[in-house]
Amino acid sequence: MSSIQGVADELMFKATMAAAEFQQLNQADTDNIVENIFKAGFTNRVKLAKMAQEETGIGVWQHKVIKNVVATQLVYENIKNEKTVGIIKEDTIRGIVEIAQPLGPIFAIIPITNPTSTILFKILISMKTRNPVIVSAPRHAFNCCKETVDICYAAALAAGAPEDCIQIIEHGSREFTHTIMAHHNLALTLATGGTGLVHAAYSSGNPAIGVGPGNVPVLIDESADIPFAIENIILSKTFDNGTICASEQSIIVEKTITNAVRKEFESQHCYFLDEAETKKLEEYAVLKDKGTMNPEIVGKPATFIAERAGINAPENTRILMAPLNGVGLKYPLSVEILAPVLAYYECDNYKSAIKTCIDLNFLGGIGHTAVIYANNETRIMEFSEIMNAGRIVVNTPSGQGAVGGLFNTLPTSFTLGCGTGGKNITTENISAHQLINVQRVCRRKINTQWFQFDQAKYIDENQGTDDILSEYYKNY
Amino acid sequence: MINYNLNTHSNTLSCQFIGRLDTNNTSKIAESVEEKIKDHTGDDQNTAPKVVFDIEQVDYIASAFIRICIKAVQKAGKINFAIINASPMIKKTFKIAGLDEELNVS
Repeated sequence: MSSIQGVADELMFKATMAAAEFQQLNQADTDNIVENIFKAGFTNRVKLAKMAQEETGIGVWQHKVIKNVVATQLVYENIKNEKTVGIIKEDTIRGIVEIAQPLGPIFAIIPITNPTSTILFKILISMKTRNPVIVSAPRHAFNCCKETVDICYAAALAAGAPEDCIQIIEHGSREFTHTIMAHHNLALTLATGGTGLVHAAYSSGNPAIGVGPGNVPVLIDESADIPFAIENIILSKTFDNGTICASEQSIIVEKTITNAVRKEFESQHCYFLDEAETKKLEEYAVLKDKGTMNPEIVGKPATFIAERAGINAPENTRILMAPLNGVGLKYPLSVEILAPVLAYYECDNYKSAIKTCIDLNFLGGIGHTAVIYANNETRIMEFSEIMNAGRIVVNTPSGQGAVGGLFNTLPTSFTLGCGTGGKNITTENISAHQLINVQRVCRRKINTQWFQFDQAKYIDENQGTDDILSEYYKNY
Repeated sequence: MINYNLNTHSNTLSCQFIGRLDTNNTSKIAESVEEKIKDHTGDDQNTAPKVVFDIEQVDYIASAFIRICIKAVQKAGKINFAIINASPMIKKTFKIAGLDEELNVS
């Protein structure tokens, strides 16, 4: 047995023991554990945010505090009254009773962009559903992740949770991660990370809930309140220096309003690049060989990126705006960039704007999120029906809107499903309700229409379809 | 609070547990139970001293208790160890742990 397999077996043995114990707890016991973890995480929101920012060098610690608050307070509010143990639904008319069973050990993969908040979120929804959780932290965010896990685990034990209900992989490697993903005792991988990682989770042979990459187009329609739209876009794209995968990537406007839109962006310290500067940014911000963002710019301020790219932007620049003429590999800045950089498109008319949004949506962001600013209901719905996105966010900052709970009533989540386009099983915001097995008790409720019908007619080859159906539905 | 009784008849050590065997309660009895099993089984499994855990009056077990069971079966040998009178819920707990056959749970 290899040492990797041995360590994985030991980790999974502990998780399996915890799962066995966990399933004996009732709803009140479970809710008590969840409340204790919520309070512990919330109490340490600032410490963990500072640790995450210092260790990773990504984002803004004050914004990471808000992320930690969303991941504790809002997630807790969202799940605290949810039934996740025993009978969760009774429909006496249909004769169906639904009972929740835990899944078993969950493998939680954590992204470097939102490390502590994603752990808090995944631990809360896993504990709420009586599933032990094993955390896989990014190497460059291990210490803040370990601290988060230790805080949550101590709070869980104090409330009577099983030993080893929360574990963290101490010395992870790609091979070890794959060994855990494929372990026969694992119930599910909750994969938040890059495409390769999510694909590995889905290919492991065990169930997985993954997320897809985002490439969020924002259509500003003629009917939009332009100052309001720009203010909201900046609020989202500068939050934690643009590290939320649901944050805006491209702005698409019709020619009729470009002057007003540009003027508003510029008045709020967004810097429009000229052709030469756009070229410089392309070369620095996007890896030529892969066509993906340079990891060095993730979560960095606009001024830092401008300086590194050799662009002389004003000191108070909040976002770098890159005017582009097309979408695709020939236009490197049209891909997802988790930093305060926005591609900017001016289109001849509404139809052309919509088509640009479709191109962007299908360029690596299919199934994720799309945004429209408009006050024309017809256009809002037309845009929504044509976009292939799990979340169409309307007149709302995208990052905060997609996560849910702040600007709308979507479930608060740090794992956003992208449907089959993103190679995911669901387009939903993942929460506790996806982490239970629902079993249905089915009471006898006779289908009288079926049993009153002469079944011999089905067997008789000479009976025509129309004759059978008209007889079957007669008087109904 | 957990209670337990230990009785020896001929070569069988019978351990009857009563109450909730959560982590705290189990930690209070683990050492003495393990000591008794060690004394009873000695170092020679060939003498076939048997160990039986009666958990009829137990309504909850922690993973710590499962670990006591694992140590006991390692000490006594699989054919000389059994857990009897498990409630359906606790039977399922051993099943999920993948140890119901190894520990002869009934």
